[in-house]
Amino acid sequence: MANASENVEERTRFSGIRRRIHEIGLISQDPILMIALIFSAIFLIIFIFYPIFRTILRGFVSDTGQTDFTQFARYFDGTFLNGITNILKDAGLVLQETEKYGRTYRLVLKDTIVMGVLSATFGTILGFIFAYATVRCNIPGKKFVHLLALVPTVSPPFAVAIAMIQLFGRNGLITKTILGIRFSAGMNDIYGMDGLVIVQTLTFFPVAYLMLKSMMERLDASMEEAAETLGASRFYLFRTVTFPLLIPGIAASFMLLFVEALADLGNPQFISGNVTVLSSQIYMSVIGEYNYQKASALSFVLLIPTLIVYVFQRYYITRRSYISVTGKPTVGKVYEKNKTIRVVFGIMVYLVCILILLVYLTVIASSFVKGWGIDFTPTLSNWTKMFGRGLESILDTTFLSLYATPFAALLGMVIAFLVVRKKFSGKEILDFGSNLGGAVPGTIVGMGFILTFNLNNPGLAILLLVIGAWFYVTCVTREKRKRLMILIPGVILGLTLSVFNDGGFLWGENGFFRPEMQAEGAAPFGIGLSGVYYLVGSLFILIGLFMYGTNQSKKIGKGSFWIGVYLLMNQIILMISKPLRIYGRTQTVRWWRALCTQTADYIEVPFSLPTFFLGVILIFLTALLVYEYRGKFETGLKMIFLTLSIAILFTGDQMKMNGTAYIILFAFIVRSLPASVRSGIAALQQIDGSIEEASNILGGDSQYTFRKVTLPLILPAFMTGLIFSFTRHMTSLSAIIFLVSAKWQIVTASIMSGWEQDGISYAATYSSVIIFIVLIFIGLMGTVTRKILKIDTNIDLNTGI
Amino acid sequence: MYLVIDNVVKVFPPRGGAKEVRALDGINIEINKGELVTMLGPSGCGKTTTLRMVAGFEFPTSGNIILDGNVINEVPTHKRDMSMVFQSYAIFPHLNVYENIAYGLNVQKMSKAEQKKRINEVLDMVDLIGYETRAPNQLSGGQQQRVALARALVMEPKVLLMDEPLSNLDTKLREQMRFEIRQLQRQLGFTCLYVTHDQLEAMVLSDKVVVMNQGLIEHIGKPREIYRYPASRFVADFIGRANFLEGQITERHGDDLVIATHGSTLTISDPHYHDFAVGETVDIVIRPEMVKVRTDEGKFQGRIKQAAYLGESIEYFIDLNGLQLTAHETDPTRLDMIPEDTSVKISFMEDCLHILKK
Repeated sequence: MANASENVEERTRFSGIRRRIHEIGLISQDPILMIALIFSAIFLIIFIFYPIFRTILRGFVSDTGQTDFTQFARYFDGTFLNGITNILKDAGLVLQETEKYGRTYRLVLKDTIVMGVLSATFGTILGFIFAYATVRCNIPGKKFVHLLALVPTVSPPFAVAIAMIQLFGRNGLITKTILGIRFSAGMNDIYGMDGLVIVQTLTFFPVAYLMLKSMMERLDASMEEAAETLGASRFYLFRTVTFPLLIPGIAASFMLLFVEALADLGNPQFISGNVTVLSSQIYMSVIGEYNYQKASALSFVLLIPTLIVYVFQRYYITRRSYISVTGKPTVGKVYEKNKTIRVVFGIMVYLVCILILLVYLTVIASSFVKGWGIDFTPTLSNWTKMFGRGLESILDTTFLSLYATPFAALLGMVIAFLVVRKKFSGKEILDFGSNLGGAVPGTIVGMGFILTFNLNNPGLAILLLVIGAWFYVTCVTREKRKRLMILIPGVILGLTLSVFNDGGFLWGENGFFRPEMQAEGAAPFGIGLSGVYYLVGSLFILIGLFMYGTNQSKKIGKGSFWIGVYLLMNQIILMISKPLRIYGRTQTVRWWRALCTQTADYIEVPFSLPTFFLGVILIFLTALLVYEYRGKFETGLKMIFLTLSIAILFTGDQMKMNGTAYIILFAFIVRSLPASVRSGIAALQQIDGSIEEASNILGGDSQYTFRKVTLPLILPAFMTGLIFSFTRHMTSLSAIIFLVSAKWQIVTASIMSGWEQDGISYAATYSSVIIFIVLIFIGLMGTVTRKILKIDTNIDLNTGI
Repeated sequence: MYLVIDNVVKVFPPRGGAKEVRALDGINIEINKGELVTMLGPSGCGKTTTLRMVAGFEFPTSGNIILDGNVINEVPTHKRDMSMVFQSYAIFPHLNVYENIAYGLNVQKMSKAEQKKRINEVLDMVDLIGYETRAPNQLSGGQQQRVALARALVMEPKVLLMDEPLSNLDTKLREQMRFEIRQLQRQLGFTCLYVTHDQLEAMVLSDKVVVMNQGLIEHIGKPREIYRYPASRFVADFIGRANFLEGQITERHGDDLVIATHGSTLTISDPHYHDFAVGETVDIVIRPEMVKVRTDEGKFQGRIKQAAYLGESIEYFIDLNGLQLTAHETDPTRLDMIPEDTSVKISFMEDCLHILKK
């Protein structure tokens, strides 16, 4: 019964910090767990937090690098808030004209908010009707209605706009051909605010529907029965019990819809007519004016409502919510007893379903006719055109989407695992950060990516070096002296080795001392990027052969050998891809030509990771190889591996990724991460944590447990993650529109920039292709899940929303 | 000493709005090799936290956990060479019975032939031969329990940890499994730390029982000791049931103590109480079955407030000078209920009474 209270140190200012460091220390005993944690953190910092931060910052900086509040001052100029503008002007913080832009800026903002509020209101109402009809009214064909309501979530972002124009536009099938309306100037047509709101409502209501549906399913039926036994009439009951319980869900879906409608770029570009919304304004200021400051500043304005909504949702709605999100749907069902409501809701739902069906049929049909609205002769000309000129962008889009998909889903599962199962400080940040990339308007991610990855960033590279090297030495040995003997020579030699490139971080193309050397043209010395790859790759192979051959450690031998081979492949692959590309260019059959040249591009991609990323991965991989090694040349070997990794980290283009496939791939992953994280979290919360503990105590470490127990159990969630990621990649627009290049084209971006010349039928053709590819993928994954993995479950598409 | 829990404190830091929780406030437990020790206590007393710290799922805020002479505080779970049977069994749902049991052996990369031999042995022990290819969801609760046990035993762990392994079984099966676990432990001689909130389970199984309450150890002892000589009011009340009467020691003759209470005296004859002094105020612990309720003779005067027929006994709630006393009449020849509201005479089996310092 000893009371040991006095033995416990008093809580001091530092005890919290010490505890946190201790927690990290405990995690670091398991290198793979630590790597998962550091990797996720690095990913969030470099690809989410930093780009968003860059975008926000850029809005306050003029092209010449001075602090400049012009873009924000413009909003106030000429209003009662003129004072703010004047204060800023007096402080010398406004460097450009403000007066003549003020009106436009405010008009755009007003239209944007009106559009957002109206779309969110109608979308939520429609979503509620759908949810109530499917959950409570027991309408016939519920499954069909459910599937149809999901279609807008998996279709390209402007499909609805295209179809609405084809149906109700000036040459629309219904307006002109059937009703015979002839539009003259001044007549209210589909273009403009009204059309935009209709389109946005139709596009985004499924989000509200899914949220409210799952909420209604979890509403405990016995609560309503209790109210009924207490003598409440149906309406009184709805007003006092059902509705109040649903309010958090309704508020949440309203806000989510508001944000999504605001962030959307596709629909407004097609259908907004004379009305301009913020997202189009940002798009135009990059594409038309090349004004990055303006675009960044406006992105920040667009970000504000998103952040408010996010905070509101996290700290208000989740606390007010009485319905648990993780709970299973209740067994008891209550159906609406009032026949009128049932019939009215049913009819409304069916009408909207018919409209959705009509929308997608129109998109597909209009790709097969000559001139929609004028000449309905069936033709394949759009498709032949697309399989000629458009094939490259379709192949690119599909390839990049597919390539990013497994990584996005896997990273999502890893983050979900860390968030649900592990204890460490900063978990909330990990959770928040992984959601942030998908929650903010895509434009901000896109802007941030161009601003961050269009040049080398020595600061970030050094941050990576510090984190990586610190991890490496703490992981591979416990002795202080050895740590120093690995760290210091390793870093110095690594940096020196990178200089062999073309001057590396010192005099290289993007090096520190470059400006002074500019006059001399080419770097004074160096073996070039390929030289470094050859050198580092061969060293890895040699070490591998030595370790394997002399029987020091087979594991290190094999690992090192294959790392070396991978590095050499960066160059070797060119021996295949270059001839293939040259051969392709000589071909005259368009599809064959495109296939050859594009394949040449694609096989290079896996071996040309951006060097900063490759460097970090090499640090992790080599640490895993050697951390248990205690044999001959221990310190030297560990030091050399660190050297080689750092050499790669600082070689070549490092973080400069514009125009490459990787800038798009990373943007894809950032955008689709939240969906897979959320489906992973939902799945993990259903699984008893002691199952993983059982694996632990039977001797399995974290990675063994994750591979053998966790992943098999959350496989359905993983498959959902794959489907969601792929769909999001294929249909993303705002995030990648600024990132495409001549070499790497994305279908949605091509449509956006080309539909005015090529005509709307051509855009419809592209859209149909995206829809087909997505549907094929979903079907394929469904089959794989059921037939090959033998998982007897419907992939739950709700979890990712 | 094989496994030592040395002055361990566990404080859960405040997190996510929850306040700081002091789950363990300095506990010491010593376990010999081959011993089965149970930790017994109400929910929230810290017994599961202790077990999880031994397993390595939680880490002590201060103090040490020592296994076979080595401090293992920060050794990760998978290197501790223990195994555990979980309350929820935690059977891997995607593996069949054989694969479940082989899981830990696979981690060790043991050869398939050796695995088969070991697994067949344990399957035989837990009586699951013929169930190798069954999926977990095709097993009954009791069978799942056996799989979990087999999976833990096949590892031949240094320490076997059990976290309320029987609490999800129905009563009959639980009684049977108690004896089976006891028998297996005797036969194989493994060291075992066992958590339960069921005192009968603790009594049947243990070499030693650790009674815990609110993060502190109240009593460590053999099953008989903690029932017969509980160290505190809490233990007396938690292990079985107890009435407490306040009294004062008036005389001592060798091992005999005379205690005055409620207007009469009791004589307790037991060498156990040599450190009690004359004049000291004590709590007298009276188990319900030590209370004799008679209509004719007895030392104290009481009144029956409530009587209930329980089959094997009769339960009386008796008013004794405003104090409520519970009595169990277990004598089969006396199972005629005395009606409620009857005045009765009460006496105690004085040789069986226990006293506690105030």
